[in-house]
Amino acid sequence: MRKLVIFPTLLKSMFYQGNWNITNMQGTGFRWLLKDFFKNNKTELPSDFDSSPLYYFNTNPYLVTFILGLLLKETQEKGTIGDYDKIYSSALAALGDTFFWHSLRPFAFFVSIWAIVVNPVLLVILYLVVFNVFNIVFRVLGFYYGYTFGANVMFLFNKIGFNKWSTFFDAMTTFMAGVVITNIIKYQYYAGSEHVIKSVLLFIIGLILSKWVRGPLELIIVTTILGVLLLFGV
Amino acid sequence: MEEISVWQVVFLIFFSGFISIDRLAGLNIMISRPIIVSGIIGIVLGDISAALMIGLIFEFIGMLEVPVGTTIAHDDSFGGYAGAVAVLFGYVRPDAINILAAIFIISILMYPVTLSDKGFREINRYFVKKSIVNNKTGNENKLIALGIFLAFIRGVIVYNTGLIIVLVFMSIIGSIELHFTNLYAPVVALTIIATFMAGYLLRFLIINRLYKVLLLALGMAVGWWII
Repeated sequence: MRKLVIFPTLLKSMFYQGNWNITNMQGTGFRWLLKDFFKNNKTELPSDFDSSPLYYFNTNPYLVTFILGLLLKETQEKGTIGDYDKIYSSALAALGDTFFWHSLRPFAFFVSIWAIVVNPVLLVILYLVVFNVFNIVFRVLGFYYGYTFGANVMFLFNKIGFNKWSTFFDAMTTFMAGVVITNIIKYQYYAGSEHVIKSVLLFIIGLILSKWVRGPLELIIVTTILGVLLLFGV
Repeated sequence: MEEISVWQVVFLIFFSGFISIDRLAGLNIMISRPIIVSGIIGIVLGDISAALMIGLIFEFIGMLEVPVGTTIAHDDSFGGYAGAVAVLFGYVRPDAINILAAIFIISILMYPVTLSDKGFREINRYFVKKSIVNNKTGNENKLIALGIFLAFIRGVIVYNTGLIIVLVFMSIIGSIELHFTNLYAPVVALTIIATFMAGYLLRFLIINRLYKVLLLALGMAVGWWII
């Protein structure tokens, strides 16, 4: 594996979304990273590189370094980057968003929630560690594997079955959710079968409602329902 | 209500800006998750357990929204921030109806707070367009630094304005004598919400429906009989 200078760009990659906007998305930040990475690795920017302020780019922030690595490799070999930035940004956005945002966050939550029983401070530390191990590992290795595999970097993702990671993590999250729910009911709420029936009913209502409402509206509805229940002493 | 010290206010001002940076402009190390926001506030202000209780609710609702493409997820960080501070400053009495009222008010305020996320993107766009008009290239450093600074300022102004509104409403609610049946202790109210949210979460996970039900049932069996 070639020795790459990655540290300054790695730090900058933490902030490249600073100018995120709905016109060129992460374009400004990515241009910033690319210039820095190429300069640190003594490579001229390719002749076809779009340096205009409207340069469009958007991907998952945790996988952006793979694109930097592969663009460096392609530039050094061919002198141009072609459409690789566009092609790989979309592909890695889909993969990264599904894994990091969709699966890893609930997973980190259910892994760390147990610590609340031992020491609540541990919950905070565990959540940050679980999530950021993946964050840092992917960011660091992205430079090297992007550079090693070049335009074939997707083979790497296929080889490690990255598109199946979400399913696996979701399965573990579902199992842990089951353990947590019953544990809460058993130790915090249980006072007879009536309470279990109420919990199951609320669980089913949650499932049904989730089809139509998202975000805070869900909480507004839940708190209203519970307020009414309290009012009538149900 | 607790007495608020100067250093607590200074911490909250800096922390609110930092949360906003993590959420909008950089880092993305999950400091802005409601459970982490409330946990850190709890550690600094001295009662992490109480802070986490309210943070959990907003974590549940927030983890289900995925910021894909141009989608801007609802600002759940504000929920963790305002909820934890309101509880620890003593503005939320430890009874079910007060906790529900706090969650209700914060959930409504999450909409205008989210709107400020959009405003932040618009300001960034304005600066990009200004670069085009001035035909400026190579000013990425400046644009990124400006974006991070704006994210910080946005956090300080928006989160703390929202917090003040929550505190005002909670002190009004706290002064009213409500004759609700206090059937549920706070922990029970939170448990009910958590159970409700778990149903929501289950729908969100992408694995096969049958496996999902089986795994959940297995987890529930383990939770009930083994642990």
